[in-house]
Amino acid sequence: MLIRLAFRNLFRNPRRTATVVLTVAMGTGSLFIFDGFNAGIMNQYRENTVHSRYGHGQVNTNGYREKVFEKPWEHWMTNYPALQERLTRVPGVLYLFPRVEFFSLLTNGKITVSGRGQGVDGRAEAKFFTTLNVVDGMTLSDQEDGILLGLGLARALDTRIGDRVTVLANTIHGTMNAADLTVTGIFHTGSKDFDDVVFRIPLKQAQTVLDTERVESVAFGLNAVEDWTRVADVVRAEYPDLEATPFAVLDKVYYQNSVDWLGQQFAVIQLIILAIVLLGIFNTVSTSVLERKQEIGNLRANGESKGQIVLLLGWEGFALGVLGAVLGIVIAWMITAVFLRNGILMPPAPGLTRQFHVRIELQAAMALGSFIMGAAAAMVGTLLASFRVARMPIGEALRSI
Amino acid sequence: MKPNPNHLYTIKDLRFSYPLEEQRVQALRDVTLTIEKGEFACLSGPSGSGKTTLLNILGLIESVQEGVVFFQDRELKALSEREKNRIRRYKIGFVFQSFQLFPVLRADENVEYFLTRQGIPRKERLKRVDEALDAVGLREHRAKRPLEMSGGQRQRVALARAIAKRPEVIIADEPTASLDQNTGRGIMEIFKRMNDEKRVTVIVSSHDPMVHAFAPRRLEMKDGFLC
Repeated sequence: MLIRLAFRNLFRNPRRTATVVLTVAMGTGSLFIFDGFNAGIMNQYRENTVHSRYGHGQVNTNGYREKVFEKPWEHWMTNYPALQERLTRVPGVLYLFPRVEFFSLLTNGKITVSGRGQGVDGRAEAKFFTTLNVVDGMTLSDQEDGILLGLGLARALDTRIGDRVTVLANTIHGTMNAADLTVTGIFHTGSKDFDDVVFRIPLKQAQTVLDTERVESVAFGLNAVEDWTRVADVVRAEYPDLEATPFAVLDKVYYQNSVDWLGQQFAVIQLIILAIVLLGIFNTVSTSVLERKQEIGNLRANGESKGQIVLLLGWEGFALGVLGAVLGIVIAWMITAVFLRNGILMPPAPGLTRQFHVRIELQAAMALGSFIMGAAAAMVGTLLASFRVARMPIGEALRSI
Repeated sequence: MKPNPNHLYTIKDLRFSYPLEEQRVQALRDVTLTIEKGEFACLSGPSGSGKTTLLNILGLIESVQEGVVFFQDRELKALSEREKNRIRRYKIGFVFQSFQLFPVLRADENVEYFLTRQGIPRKERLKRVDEALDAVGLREHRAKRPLEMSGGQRQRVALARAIAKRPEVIIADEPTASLDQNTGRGIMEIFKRMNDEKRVTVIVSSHDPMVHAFAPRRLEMKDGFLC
């Protein structure tokens, strides 16, 4: 009977009920869309990180990343073909990207600058590293003598696409070696330290210059981020002298810190939305409850305790919350499907010079979370209002107009 | 002080005041009174004489500030909030001038509501609802909601609601004030019948001579005093 009364009370003042339901719906819908946007931007950011430089992770010899060696190549992996044969069989692995890094001089005949070279499998990487921000020319691919320069390096050398550049480096035996290469593209990551020194050349060219068959690291292109666990497990189990590092650790400074920072920011915004919803509901419900002081006085006069008054109004709040939250989720879903189908156009992310669309990625778990938060906010708002009126002396409640 | 077991209420030196801005307004002054079980009493007097305040104290709606009030053998000052709720729920029926019905419930649901809260099984509840609606002559209007009924019908529903609880006492504050004379008379006849047939104690407040005529005992109040 109490529940029946609570639910029927929702129809006493349809306009006010609609106001509360819409307030809850707006709050829940906002939280839902905001959650989806948050997931979208995080995913986009992750995809940018994975597909620009690091892949889903990489394998090196144990402890290699933490130490500085006089002769780093002594710690490089020696039998890449065997490693490749095994790791490509790990479920979820799509690509392996063997790499080497080395210090060198670059010259165009007039200007000589120092740089840090990366020898990469251009053909394989071109398919996967699609978000490397090439601002001029094209990324390294099939060109056997191609070189991709960081923007700062290209400016220092005053080179254009198609210009010839000579890379000078020590072989692992200590003698000088050189390769004449053609500039195929210029990239810009936004990190000046990186763009001013880094260049990429085909792995074979790098190994020839360095006079070695070894590879320094192997990056991975996976079907999904979740597949990394399997790669790490295989490496841990079968290659005790190697270690696998995920992209979030490799790019901790930019990626993980940004994710943590954004996550915290989103949590604060989420709290603000909840507070606004709570206040809106409290305000509307307070007015509605205070208008029923006489009725509540009558209930108390007939023996209802303060707790039962709170329970009665709590049921009303529950119904309003559930109704509003469901409506909010449906509306949010519709808005996303109709108006935000292509996502939201965002300004260039760190390291990029082009705008990009962030898709609103709505998931069932988010719907559940938003539903719970919206409905709980309605309940709390109603309960706060009901505590006020339940505490009122019965005589005062009955005398009120 | 030990109350007489035949007395439903035993009141001695009751004083009560309300706060009004920085002062206190004395609503009841040294009221001493007993009301026997099965009595039909009417509080009369002009507005502001203390009728409603006295009814509220008898109904355990207001707390006793000064003096002693017994409900049967229980002193009201000694009762906990829980005990007061229990007495109000089981032993006192209220009828207010403004009916105080739930607009979203039908007439029969309004009558049934407090029976549910008393924990009475459904079958018994429905029996009592039928009896109460019969007693006030509203059985055929049982499916109507308060807004679909006249003032007299609404007050009869309120009365049926109080009767159905089978209380020791029905406290009615100006029950006919919102009604015309004929309708009010009809309501008072029901009160009288309940008192005669069921021996329910009835305490009514009113300044209407028509109502006074129904009550064998009249308690005149003026400026908070019982004359």
